[in-house]
Amino acid sequence: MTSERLGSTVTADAAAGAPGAVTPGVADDGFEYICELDELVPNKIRRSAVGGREIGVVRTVAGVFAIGSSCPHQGGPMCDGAIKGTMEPSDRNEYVFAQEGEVVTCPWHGYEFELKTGASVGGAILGRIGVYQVDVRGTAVFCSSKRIRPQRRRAE
Amino acid sequence: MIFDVDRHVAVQSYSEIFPFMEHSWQKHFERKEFVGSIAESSNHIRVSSRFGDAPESAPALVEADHTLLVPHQALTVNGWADNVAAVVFVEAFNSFAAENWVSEKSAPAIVVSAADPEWSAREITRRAGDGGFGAVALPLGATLAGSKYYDPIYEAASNAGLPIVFHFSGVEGFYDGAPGLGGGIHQTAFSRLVLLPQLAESTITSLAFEGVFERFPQLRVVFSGFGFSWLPSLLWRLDREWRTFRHDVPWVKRVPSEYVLENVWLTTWPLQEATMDDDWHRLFSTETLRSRIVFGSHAPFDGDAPSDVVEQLGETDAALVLGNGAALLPFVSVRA
Ligand code: FES
Repeated sequence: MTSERLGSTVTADAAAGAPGAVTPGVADDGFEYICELDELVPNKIRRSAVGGREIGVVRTVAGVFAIGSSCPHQGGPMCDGAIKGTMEPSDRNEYVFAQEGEVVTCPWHGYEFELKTGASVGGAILGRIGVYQVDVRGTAVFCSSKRIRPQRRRAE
Repeated sequence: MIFDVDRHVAVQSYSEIFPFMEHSWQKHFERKEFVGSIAESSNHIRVSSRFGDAPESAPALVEADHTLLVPHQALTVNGWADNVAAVVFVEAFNSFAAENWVSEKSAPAIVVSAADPEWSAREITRRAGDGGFGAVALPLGATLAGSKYYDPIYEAASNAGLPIVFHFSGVEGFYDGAPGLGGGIHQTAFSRLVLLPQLAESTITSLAFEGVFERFPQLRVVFSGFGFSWLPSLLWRLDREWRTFRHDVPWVKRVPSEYVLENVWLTTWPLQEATMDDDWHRLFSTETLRSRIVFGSHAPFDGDAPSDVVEQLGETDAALVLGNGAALLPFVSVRA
């Protein structure tokens, strides 16, 4: 498990494949093999090298997500971030907990970002973290190095 | 146009307000310890003989087009133990103000009591209905201003279209019931005076983080006599912590400084602390920040005259600051 924190191990994974992998390496559509789904420890961000960049892949109760490794605030290491839910905007003195497993917080100043969109939760800052497409193919997790472009408007 | 948002008025003797209270209450108040206490509540910050022993009241500023008058003696109820009597005192003061201090160019503030928000709300609605008043002066209470406890007051002020004025009474950091100052109880009145800006910072932080402006978006709040040079750094700190801890105050839906820059104003006195080392130009670099600062002469206590503002800020910014009070006193300008 300790080696999972190292980017080089992931590269080795991608090259050699893991036991039971469907298609280790790079798929036709450019998605790269990360690991087996059951190798992803829930809520633990796995550092991976995809298309030459460091991307964190994480499995949470809300799904499997891939994020850029640098925080837009001051470059904090997002792969060391914590997976959480958050409190939605609410009326005074009321808490509405939501988005369980959909939020990652930066280890440096605790800013929250949405795993799906990369946006700062509640509009705390304008910057966003990178988010990438992940695909679970059979038992294997694949990730694209192309950033999901932010949508101008979020559908309500 | 010149708007003076902080000018102080006083009665010379508490017996002047007796005709405005019930006979039995008048009898209750007719005692040396109360009538004699006027000397204590009139020097404004309790620095003995600083302004002489006689109660000081400023005549309207001749150059000012509109003036907000603050009856500072009434503000001292935040140090009273008897909150029932405090309400009777303040109500009589407001009646006196309505008869004596309302003019075409000046409007007194309705003074209320932090110890009784329900009564205060009724008083605001009633006095606003009568007309002539320009704001609501809420003495600082032991409960911080962001608490829901004050909602009746904020609601009544919002409905009446009157701003809330926070001005220290002089007993803060000294008497129970009024808020304390950071660190403990200071030995001297002047050390308390030096530290009063703490109360404005504390109150703004409470208003911003407890979502008062989200609940009452029309509410306008002015901090009077606390200085203002500390505002930019406070706003930076509010925003910085909110970015990390937003989920602890999810009712604060925007960057907290945005609410402050929309709903809060601060009077100029003491202007000099913000103009040394060119701080004004350096720190108040945006139009929005400059729009928050309103001229308050603080007369008759050591304050600033319009000429001081011109001298310290230059013609252009002085014109802006001298006129900024229009955002707070539209009521007065409509009346004139
Ligand atoms: S660097 Fe990520 S929150 Fe500051």
